[in-house]
Amino acid sequence: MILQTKLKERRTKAGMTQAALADAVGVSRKTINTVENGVFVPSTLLALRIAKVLDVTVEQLFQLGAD
Amino acid sequence: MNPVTLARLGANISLILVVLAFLAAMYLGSGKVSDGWAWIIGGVALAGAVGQIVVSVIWPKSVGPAWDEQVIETQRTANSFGFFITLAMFLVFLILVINDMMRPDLAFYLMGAPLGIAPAIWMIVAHLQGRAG
Repeated sequence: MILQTKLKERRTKAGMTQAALADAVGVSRKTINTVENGVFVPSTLLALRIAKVLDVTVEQLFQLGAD
Repeated sequence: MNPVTLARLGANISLILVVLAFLAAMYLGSGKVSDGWAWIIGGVALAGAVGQIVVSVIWPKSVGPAWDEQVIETQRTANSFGFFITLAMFLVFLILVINDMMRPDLAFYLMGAPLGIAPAIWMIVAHLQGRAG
């Protein structure tokens, strides 16, 4: 299973930069970048924090994709 | 750049450079080097650690992002990489020493090199790939 993400789309829609989102959730900008690119799979805790900041559900940010 | 990340990067680069200098000195000295190198390498490693602590105290808000979950995962992988590289070199050196192709004291000194710099190399590569803060 791979993780599909709509983080970039949702972040842009919220009018936030990667740096601003990173500051809001307490991680580095590069971590937000790798999450958006599907390089790094965030923990449940980080996914929930990002979802809270963007005012969306985790499922709206991340979904399971086919192999 | 995050000051804590910068301090970590500087510590890793310094450690790699000093170990490479040690290996060069060992090569030029035909396997014989001063015992002082152990203090130099240890001193650089310690200075790097102290430097990171000092920077963390000065910029406490930078600690979290510099050591977020992605960096911690990368650090764990770097440590595993260092362990297996060292284990592989130990087995190679063991065979060489048993067959009188390498002096035990030289093997001991050389073992320190991968132990010290393999994780640092991994962290630098990860940093360049955007996976280490």
